[in-house]
Amino acid sequence: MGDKLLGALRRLSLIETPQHSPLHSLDGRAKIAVTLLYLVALLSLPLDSLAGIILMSLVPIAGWAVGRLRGRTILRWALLSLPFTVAVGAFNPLLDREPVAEVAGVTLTHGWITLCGLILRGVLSVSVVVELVLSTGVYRLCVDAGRLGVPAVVVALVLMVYRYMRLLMGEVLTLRMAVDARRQRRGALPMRVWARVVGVLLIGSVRRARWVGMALEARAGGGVPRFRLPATKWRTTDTLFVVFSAVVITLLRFVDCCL
Amino acid sequence: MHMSDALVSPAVAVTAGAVAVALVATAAVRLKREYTPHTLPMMGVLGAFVFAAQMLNFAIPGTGSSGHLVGGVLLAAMLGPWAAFLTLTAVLTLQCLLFADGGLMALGCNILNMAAVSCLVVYPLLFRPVAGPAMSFGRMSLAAVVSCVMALLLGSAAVTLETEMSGVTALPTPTFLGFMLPIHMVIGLVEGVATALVLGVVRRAEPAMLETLSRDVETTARPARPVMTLAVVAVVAVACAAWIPTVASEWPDGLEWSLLRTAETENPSAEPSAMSAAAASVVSATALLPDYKGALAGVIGALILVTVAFVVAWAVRSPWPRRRKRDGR
Repeated sequence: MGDKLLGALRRLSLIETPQHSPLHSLDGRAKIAVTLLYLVALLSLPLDSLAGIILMSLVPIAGWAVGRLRGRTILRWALLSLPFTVAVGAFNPLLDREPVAEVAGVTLTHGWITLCGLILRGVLSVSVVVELVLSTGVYRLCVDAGRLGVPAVVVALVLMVYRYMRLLMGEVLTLRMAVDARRQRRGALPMRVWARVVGVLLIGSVRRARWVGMALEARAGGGVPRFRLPATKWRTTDTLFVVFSAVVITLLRFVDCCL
Repeated sequence: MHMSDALVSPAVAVTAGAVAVALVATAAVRLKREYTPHTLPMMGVLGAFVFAAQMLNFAIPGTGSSGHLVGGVLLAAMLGPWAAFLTLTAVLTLQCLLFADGGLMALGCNILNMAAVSCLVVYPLLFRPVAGPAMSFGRMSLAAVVSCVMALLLGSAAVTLETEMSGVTALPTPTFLGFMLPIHMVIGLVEGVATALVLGVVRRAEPAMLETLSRDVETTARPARPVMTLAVVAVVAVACAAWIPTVASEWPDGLEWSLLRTAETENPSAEPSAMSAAAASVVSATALLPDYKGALAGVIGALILVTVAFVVAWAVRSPWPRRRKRDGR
């Protein structure tokens, strides 16, 4: 449990650690647009088109290389999303037994192919989102989403949750250590103890929110708070990045049709 | 229950995304209209609280496994439906970006399945009427359990339909539903008990908090209207009744199957006993729709069921607060 909490806190620290690479220097709006385009192209591929899906992995691989990101981090993150996807696709080999190919004397059925397609699609789709987050940071991503038209109140809310998340996780860690020290053991809490701990956390959170409200009222006159970051300008490199990526993604999608 | 991108087709993702965007825009407009300095901090900090609380697991008695809070109904109970919907949307967005819980393209589906269902459907139609205006501990606990179960059942049914519509699984819809619904009913029960316990702790420690919170955050919160609730439930029930018979399996049900296995014929030729003949005559005399088939019978059955439920609910409901007589009358 403590490991889960520490892992989450470590991941949050990793995201906001400033890094420098060609991918990091691009405008967040360009990266959001390319990510969405890639996801649409990837998801529009039929599940049994394994060749096309494998070709599509070139884009996250390029992002990983250009962004100088840690491959193990991306992969670990991507594997987190797999259990439910695999659970849904696991029935395909059992129900869809139409033989489609024979490899080294083993008959491959359509169900196995679609299961592999589903898993690959899951890993790739999460990988590009992880690359987007790691190369942009959540603050910049939200501010740029606001510049793309997301309502200011939604952007402010997401950032507010993000800001206080780490703080409250730290409090949970302290509470957890206190409870474990008193119980002389670790592991899941009995429900009654758990309810008290969470109840205390909830009451503390509400009180904290009231103080934050008062502070905002005193500081900003009570309006929707604006999260300001150093403004970035849309440059020629951003346009080139979007155009080049769009062409590559379309080609990869088109190549699959030809195969 | 988070859907990943791999499970949705672009058509389903875009459609669900469009509906989610419309709901988020509506919520944002409503919130902006009723904005107070405490609105956003309350929503933001309680959203962060949901994240933090999810890091604490509780032991599920008798199973050896553990669970954690999901928080949809809890947020709705504390913030009101629209504010809770927006807060859960923010939580789901961050879960997608930071923890790979659900995909970016599937975000619309996840917002509908989890945030919209629990905050905009279950909370106003189930939690509020069951909890009542006084929110006694017993009624609040019952409301929490019933609402969490219903939210998870509806959400998992929505996940099933979206996955089937995306065409990524070979599982037939009824079988998929058969896997999803029982699991999520159990999860809903546990989540409901957890929510009730937390609300109970808050109620005991800070009795005023639950009453003042929704007033702080959402001034548009109005008492639920039972007639509206029943109308919506009736429409959904009639729609289900009309649709379900059209997808009903033509295979024998469990009883028929075991009968077939035992007798090895659909109509056993053995003479019925006196008791079964008597039972058959009672059934044929009292059956409203003998040999029912098709959607019409389902609709009529649902209407009868809803009417009976309405009458029972009317009979056992607590007295609705009446207006005070004006002075001098």
